[in-house]
Amino acid sequence: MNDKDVILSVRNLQTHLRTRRGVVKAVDGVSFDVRRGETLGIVGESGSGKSMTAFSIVQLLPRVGRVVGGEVIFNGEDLLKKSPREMEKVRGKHVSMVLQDPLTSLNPVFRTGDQIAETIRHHLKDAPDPKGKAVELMRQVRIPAPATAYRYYPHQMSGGMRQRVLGAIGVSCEPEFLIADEPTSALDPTIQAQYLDLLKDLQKQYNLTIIFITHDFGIVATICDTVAVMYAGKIVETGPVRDVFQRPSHPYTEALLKSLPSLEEKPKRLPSISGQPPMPHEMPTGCRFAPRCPYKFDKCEEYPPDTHVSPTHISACWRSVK
Amino acid sequence: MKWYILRRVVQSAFVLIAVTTMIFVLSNFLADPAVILLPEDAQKEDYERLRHDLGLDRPAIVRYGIYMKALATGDLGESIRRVGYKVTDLIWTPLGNSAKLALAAMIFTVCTGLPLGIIAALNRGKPLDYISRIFAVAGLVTPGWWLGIIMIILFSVKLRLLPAAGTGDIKHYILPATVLGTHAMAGLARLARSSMLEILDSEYIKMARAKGLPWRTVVWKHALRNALIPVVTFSGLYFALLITQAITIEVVFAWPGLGRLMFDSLGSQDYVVVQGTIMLAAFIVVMFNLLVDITYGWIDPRIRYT
Amino acid sequence: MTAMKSSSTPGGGAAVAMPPQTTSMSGRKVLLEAQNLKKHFAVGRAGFLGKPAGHVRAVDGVDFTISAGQTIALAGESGCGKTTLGNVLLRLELPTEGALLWEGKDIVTLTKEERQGYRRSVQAVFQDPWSSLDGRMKVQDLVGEPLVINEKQMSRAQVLERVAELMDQVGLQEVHMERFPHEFSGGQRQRIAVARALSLNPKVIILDEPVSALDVSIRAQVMNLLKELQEKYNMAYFMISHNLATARFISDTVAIMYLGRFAEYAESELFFKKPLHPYSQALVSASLPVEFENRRQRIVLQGEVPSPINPPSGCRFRTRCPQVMDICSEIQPELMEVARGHRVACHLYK
Ligand SMILES: Nc1ncnc2c1ncn2[C@@H]1O[C@H](COP(=O)(O)OP(=O)(O)OP(=O)(O)O)[C@@H](O)[C@H]1O
Ligand SMILES: Nc1ncnc2c1ncn2[C@@H]1O[C@H](COP(=O)(O)OP(=O)(O)OP(=O)(O)O)[C@@H](O)[C@H]1O
Ligand code: SF4
Ligand SMILES: [Mg+2]
Ligand SMILES: [Mg+2]
Repeated sequence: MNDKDVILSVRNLQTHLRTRRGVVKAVDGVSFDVRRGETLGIVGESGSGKSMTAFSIVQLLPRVGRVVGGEVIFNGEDLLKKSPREMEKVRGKHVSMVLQDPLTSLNPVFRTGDQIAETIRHHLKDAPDPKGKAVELMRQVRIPAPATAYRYYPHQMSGGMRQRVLGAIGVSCEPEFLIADEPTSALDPTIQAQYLDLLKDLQKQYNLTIIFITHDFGIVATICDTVAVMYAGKIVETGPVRDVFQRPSHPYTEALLKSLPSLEEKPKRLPSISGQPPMPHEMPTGCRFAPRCPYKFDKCEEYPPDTHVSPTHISACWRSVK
Repeated sequence: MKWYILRRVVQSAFVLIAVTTMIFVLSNFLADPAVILLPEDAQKEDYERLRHDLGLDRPAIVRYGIYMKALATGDLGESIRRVGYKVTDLIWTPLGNSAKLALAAMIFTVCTGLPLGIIAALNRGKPLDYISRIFAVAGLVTPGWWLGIIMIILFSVKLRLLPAAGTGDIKHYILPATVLGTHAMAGLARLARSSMLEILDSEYIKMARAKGLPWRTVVWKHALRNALIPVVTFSGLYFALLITQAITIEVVFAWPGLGRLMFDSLGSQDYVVVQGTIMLAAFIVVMFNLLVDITYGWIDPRIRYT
Repeated sequence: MTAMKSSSTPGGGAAVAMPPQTTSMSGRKVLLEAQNLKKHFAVGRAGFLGKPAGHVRAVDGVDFTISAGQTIALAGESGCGKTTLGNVLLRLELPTEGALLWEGKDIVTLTKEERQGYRRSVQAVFQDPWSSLDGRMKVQDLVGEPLVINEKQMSRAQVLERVAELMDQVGLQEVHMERFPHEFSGGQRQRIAVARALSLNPKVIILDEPVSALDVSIRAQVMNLLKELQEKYNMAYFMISHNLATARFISDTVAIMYLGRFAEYAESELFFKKPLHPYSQALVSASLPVEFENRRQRIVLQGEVPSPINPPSGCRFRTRCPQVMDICSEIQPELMEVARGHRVACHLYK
């Protein structure tokens, strides 16, 4: 655990969105470190701020969004202090991102292959054959007949094919750091496994660092080193994947793991967490999971501190405070 | 694409038939040309004779057949005031003049409206946005004839820079084209602004930025082409309207175009000429509509392939 | 080329259509029947007016039925034609060849009234709860919209009453009716989409990856809701899903698709006990478990993914199949019943 290894350190990140009903604290004091060559998985509730955390790092927030506090230290520099011009140089080449929605993230009026080649042309000025490289990338992400598919417009591709084009763009310029926001949500298990293999290869080849946002715990168990679980704008638990999945410490993590359907059996009903997640403008003041937590007790009226369960495993739950 | 074009052509043909039929019905049942033509003190026999001469005493369905047949061969009839002149001959020169004026106005519109809208969108909420929006709204609410007169007073009478009337070299185009295009400019600017704003908020623009492309590539390549889709529709339709709805402006600037012809013919109650001009206008609108659809298919691949 | 022709498919093409089935094997009423259904797209035109370079055989000859109360889960390789098949079932696309029968009638030739009836009876829920609902409309208008369009005789008050009823059925409250979609969580939005689909009392709901954008707990809630609603109203579900565990939970029948055709079609219990087709086996083996100890051995498919423009001769899976034999490149295997309720298209099971 040498501090020099840390390629990205996010400290107390706070991102607010101004909406009609008031300010939404989409990311509310998030901190984590990612070491070079490792993979951090982020899982958690829909709408808990996973994507907003990612967009805060690369500064691509929606118009209503602002980072209001914290630091994002990448290779020793605070990205939040960089000008828009300087950020253009960081994105794509150093930190690249795969967006979540495969259906709307490609430009409808350009050929998909050209959208890959464009990125290569821009960042790798001396690449001999950007078009050929784009075709090769399409082959690597298992798009059938890549030379023909190069000429397809987005609407001619299936959801999963478009997602693979996004995935190809993400790794096209050999980035140091990849933020992949649910990059396999529209893929079937075999193609998904092959994309994960590709990422692992790149990691071996040149020590690529990855943040992998997903709802799929199987993926996290397969390729992530550490995992962070988010609920309502905060990280509620983080640690090595094995520790977190085998000995979950936060009740939300525990409940999530219980909701997973299995291939082996068919229950009458799937267990799920009772109640609804809190509305963004009506956050509980104490622990945000308290209204739905089976273990709730009087202390939970106050927000719990981040507590070490082990040197690497942290949970924000009063039950862990000894 | 071939099928797409064919389909649009057939649709356009149907629209044309419907429109011409409507014009026929309106001009034959709403007003009786024979009454218009005769002096107030005319006798009943004169009336009957004139109706016979004009062929108005035949059953409507027969007249309709004759009318459609003539139309199909491009014959719009003869003027009833300027005897011996075919409407098509009367229309030809004015049409050319109107088209030239409309083209000049269109160039003005696109060259001002598009940048105005895009500048507004790129500076959303900042002073430049408000300035260009005020500009656009002003253009929308200013009546063309009023602006025309003001500009004539200013540039022709006071400053003596530009000619006030008639057609000729490029100088003659500046005033009427500006005045004619102002309204459209305002509309185009608003359209360009709103479509650009929507696009700038889209996921694929976010993606283009995530790839690390510089802002100007994002705007001028990725956003612009998409923003052009509604702009093309608008421009095409508006061009047709410009040619046909330029009456007031042509009158103000004494421009010898279609609008003037129609205006004059209305004055002399030359219904055949009026009807011919309207028909031509309808034809132009439908044709441009078709052209727009085809261009549209060319810009937007999603349309091309369905 | 000839090997791909549909000559040997049961049903034998559009010309000699089979008589429609009225009840399924389990005795339930058959609602929809696909007979050698195909949907092809022209692609790769050279320039603006050019000839298409080829045809994507997105759906290339499938036969199945959907009966009342049945849930079919459709899984398969990304790009194999699942969404296209769903769109044909929704009548958003018309078949290129073959027939789709609705209560015995071909959907292409339905009269205007019958088309309206069809549109009511077959509803859809799409993948993305964030973009599939128009953000400018209130929930009551979103849910009531199909009623306003299709039930012209209903007054506004009646529509609102029905909307309130629907909200209750999907576990939302009446106070939510006045809100906009962005004020809801993803799971709640998907509930809204379900309420909307339910509004016209449909007989079939097509669900295209309805929960893949949701977290696992919300996923469980939505799946439970779908199951309850089905028990109550006996609707049929046709659900496209990449998540086999979810498919297992909700379905009674599983269809596995590969390159436009069904590779396997079986009762879900039988399928998950023992998937037979080599592609199905690879698919199941690649589903990632959360366990760390004794993980399933993944069958890795080698070779390029073939293109649906030029599918391989014989068995379409032969180019990547670990158990390929000589016959596989010569004859296209048909979907055959190898055990009661278990059909598979593979020469290994002759
Ligand atoms: N453009 C926007 N305007 C207003 N609110 C937004 C916008 N985008 C996101 N939000 C809100 O911000 C919060 C965080 O959203 P975010 O997209 O980060 O969630 P997420 O964890 O990525 O969820 P998912 O798993 O569904 O992708 C949510 O409450 C969401 O409703
Ligand atoms: N409009 C279209 N024009 C041309 N080809 C198309 C069109 N729509 C789909 N396709 C092609 O049809 C095939 C099937 O697409 P479809 O969307 O049905 O796949 P899918 O099984 O739903 O995949 P996914 O799991 O990735 O969503 C793909 O090869 C795709 O490229
Ligand atoms: S038919 Fe042959 S190639 Fe096809 S799946 Fe069976 S064994 Fe494999
Ligand atoms: Mg997200
Ligand atoms: Mg699909």
